[in-house]
Amino acid sequence: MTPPLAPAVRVRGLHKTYKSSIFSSGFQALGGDSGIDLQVERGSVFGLLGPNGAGKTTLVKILLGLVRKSGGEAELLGEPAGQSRPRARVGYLPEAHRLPLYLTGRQMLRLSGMMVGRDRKWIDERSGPWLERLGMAGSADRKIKEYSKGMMQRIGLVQALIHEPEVVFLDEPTDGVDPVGRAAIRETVTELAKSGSTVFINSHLLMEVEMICDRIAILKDGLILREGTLQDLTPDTGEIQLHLAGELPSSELQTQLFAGLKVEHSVTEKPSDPGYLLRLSADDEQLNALIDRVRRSNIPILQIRRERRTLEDVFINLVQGGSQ
Amino acid sequence: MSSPSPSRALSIRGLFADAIYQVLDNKVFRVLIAVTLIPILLTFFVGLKEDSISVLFGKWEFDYPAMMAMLGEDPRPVAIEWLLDVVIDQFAGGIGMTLAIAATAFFVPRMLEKGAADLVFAKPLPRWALYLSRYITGLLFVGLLGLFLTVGMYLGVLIVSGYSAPAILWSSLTLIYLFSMVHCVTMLIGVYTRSTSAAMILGIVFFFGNGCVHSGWQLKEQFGDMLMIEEQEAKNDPKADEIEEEEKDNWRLVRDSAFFALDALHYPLPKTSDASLVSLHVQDALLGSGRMASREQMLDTGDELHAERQKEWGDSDSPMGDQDPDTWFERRFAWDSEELRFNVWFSILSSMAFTTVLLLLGMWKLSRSDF
Repeated sequence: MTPPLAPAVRVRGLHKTYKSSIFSSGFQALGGDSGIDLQVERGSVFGLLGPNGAGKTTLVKILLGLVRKSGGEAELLGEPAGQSRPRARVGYLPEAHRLPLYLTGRQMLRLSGMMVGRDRKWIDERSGPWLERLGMAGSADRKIKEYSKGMMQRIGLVQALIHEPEVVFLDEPTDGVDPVGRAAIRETVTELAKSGSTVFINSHLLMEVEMICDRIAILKDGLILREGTLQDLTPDTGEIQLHLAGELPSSELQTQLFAGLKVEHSVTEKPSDPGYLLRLSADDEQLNALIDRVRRSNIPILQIRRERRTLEDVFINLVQGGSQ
Repeated sequence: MSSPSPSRALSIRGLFADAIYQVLDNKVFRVLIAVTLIPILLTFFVGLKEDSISVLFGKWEFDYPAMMAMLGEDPRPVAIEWLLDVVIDQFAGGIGMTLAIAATAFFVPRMLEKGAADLVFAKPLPRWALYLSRYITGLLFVGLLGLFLTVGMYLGVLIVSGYSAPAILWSSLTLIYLFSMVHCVTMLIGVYTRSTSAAMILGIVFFFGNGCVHSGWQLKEQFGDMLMIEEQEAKNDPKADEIEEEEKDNWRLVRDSAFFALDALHYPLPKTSDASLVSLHVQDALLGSGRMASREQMLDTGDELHAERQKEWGDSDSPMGDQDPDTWFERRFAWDSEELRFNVWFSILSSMAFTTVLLLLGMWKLSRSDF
């Protein structure tokens, strides 16, 4: 029986403090007093959210050996982070990266692949489809210094993926990319996850994270404030919205619908769509009773939706108010 | 996943390929390639025949100046030495080296820039290998330029003058040897400051400062020898004692301190000034090229005169032995010296030790850096 695979990332009590020097004052970048704990399972798409300076990039850099940890444990694919061996199985797209301007896109991909120990022919075979998928096939033989920011981001993503890594770290991957490019990147991430790769995304773009990540952690001042699935982080508000067709209901009809249900409700017109919204706080029994009455009144139901807190609400509350 | 296991050899090949791309894309490299065409074309346009100088493939023919007749039947070995002295030692070893320092100073700081460092150091390569690859990139920069220059000149001399002078080809190694001593300094400054400007300016300052130290040391050696000669003369002249005492009181402390400082700097620092001479001796020792003889002929100071002067002297207890002061001085410092003013092996080994220490220091600093 083969032993279970180690998680893609495992961090225990990790912290990083930059010491003060003549040129700079020291500060604690990650982990506070107790350090942070985090585990990212293989095959998942993990999103690390946080405001600027929260420590997102520092965490990734410690895992990749770019920054030395001050204490705690950090493992990448079951091996101590910072060692060169696990890095051969990792792809990385840094934030605000600077690709070598003296190379063409294709040369850069070759060299990048060779530096992780891959054969040139092997890389060439794989670079074509990747370049095609990210819309860079026509520009691959141009010098990188001629690329726009979005093109650099896309070719940067290809270099992170070209050697078929088991874990991919993407730091602000859609930064500077146009909407079409963003969609292509999102699609790529989804495909990577389907193929079994682990994707670790650092971002402050909540919508992107919400759309593609299946686990999310929110980091502030070097500490993880909340971690879980999107459902865990965005609970029900307890409010239900019924989108009903027709004219606004009269007060008599409203009294008739809610008679004996003891449910607080409000009615608002929907400016752009036909019909109106009926908002209420109700349990399942009350909701079913109400739906029966609406149908008996021959009012078409267009949509029923339980209101959840948005990731943005959760993020802003956490970031502005701490972990409360 | 069907990916093959990564190969360390391929990673290293990737680094070398990157080095070549980086050099070939460098604008200063291209400018220097264009500049090296000047001496190359000179060897094609001016042919040195055994009995005449031919310009523009025989359009004009000139007899050698009378002075050249002293150099023997075939003046070409001496003319080649002169060419190497001007083109390699003065032009490439001075101006070319300064430009090479300026053009390669950015290698390390740019690698360490935010965004670039993240990409490079996240690869599964040890940091020392990345540092070393930048060192090799610098040597490649000078090596390719040197190779272009020397192969071009060699072919020019071979085709137009009909004379094969492997010494010209050997000169590219001299340039690499010289640059290897300076590039480690520029890189160390680059890794500590992460600034191209600082690496460039301080690298050039080091190159010239180091040259000054060795020139100063040579002067000090000459001065020390002259003092010994004066002491020798003073033995024969009792009146000189008073002057000697006064000199001792006023200047000895200052002079000895300056001499000590020069010694302290000269011995550990790389011997950039010795590069061409070291190369000459190594070439003679390994290939039996006889270049020293040609150089001596070029800088001949006249042995007959020495023989005459030697007859007037003869004190076996003196540091000069049986030689007259001029002969002794010349043998110690001039090209036709029997005892060199430096030791070839010490020059090579101390320079290599300096280079190694600086490279190790740079690697250590890089291994301790956060990005």
